[in-house]
Amino acid sequence: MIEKGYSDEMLVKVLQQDVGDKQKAMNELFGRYSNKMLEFFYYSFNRDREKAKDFTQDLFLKLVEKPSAFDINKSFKSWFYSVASNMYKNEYRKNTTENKYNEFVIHDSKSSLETSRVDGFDMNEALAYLKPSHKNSIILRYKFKMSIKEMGEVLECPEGTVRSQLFYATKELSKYIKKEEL
Amino acid sequence: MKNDYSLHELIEKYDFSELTKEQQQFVLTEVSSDEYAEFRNTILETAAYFDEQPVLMAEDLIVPELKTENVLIKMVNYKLPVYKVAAAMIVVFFINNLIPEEISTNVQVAETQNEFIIDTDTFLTYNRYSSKNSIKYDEGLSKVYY
Repeated sequence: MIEKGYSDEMLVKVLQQDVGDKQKAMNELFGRYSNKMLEFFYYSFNRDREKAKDFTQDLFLKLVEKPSAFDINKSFKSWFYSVASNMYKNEYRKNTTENKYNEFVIHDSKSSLETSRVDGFDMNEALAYLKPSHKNSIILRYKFKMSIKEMGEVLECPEGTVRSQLFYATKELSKYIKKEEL
Repeated sequence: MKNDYSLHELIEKYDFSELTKEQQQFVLTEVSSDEYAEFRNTILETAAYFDEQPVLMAEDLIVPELKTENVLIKMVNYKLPVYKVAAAMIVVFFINNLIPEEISTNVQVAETQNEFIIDTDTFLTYNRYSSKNSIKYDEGLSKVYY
């Protein structure tokens, strides 16, 4: 019997060990994480809702197909975000050429927008310019309010590296915002 | 940059004017006060931007269905990886060659019944008797120490 009070790790254990109602465990995990993962992909893929939906669906399919990939001694939340983050990075690498084209389009459209912009900057555009690792850091920290420790687990790097990445990401973001304000 | 970690935390938490003198000195070794204010502003704007965004709902996403397979079908569909079979065969082959053949109990008995002459102080004399096909040994005056 799956109860609401089950921790994420207990639910994955149900999926892994063929004990209890696996479908209910899956439903519960889906309820807890689907919105968050959709938002993670949505902001990572520059507010592309359709792509975010596809990737969220794929992420849950991965969990269904291979729940054994998760180490139950670790935090499920960190692991799940980590898988999502790697999916995004892989996709970015795959489409390097396409991204270059998009950057070109953004630059082009920005120059026309700059003339019409009255106040401030467009954060969406500034975020779109960030490189994947920096964008991930910003999203995890300021959208999902993760601690440095949690970010370290998600990004699979030491806490010092996370802090350093956040600093450089902020610096980079400032640069683009400043540019756009001109 | 060695001290980025504390620098970023300071930027996140405090205005430049709120820093202690020591902290200000540290910050100024890395960035100017204007840059500090600019980065802090970026952080606050970013946090505010995400807070203002509406929560996305994954309503049209489908919960993946888990297939419940029959144990028999599972067994039939189970694919044995070729490399595992090959590795197992190699291991069995080596084990088979490494373990010596079993020593029969008869031989072991014969070995335990062996008597070894360590030393003698006299030569062994013997008389040979021929009786049919057998040979008999007579120790005579010989002394044998074991």
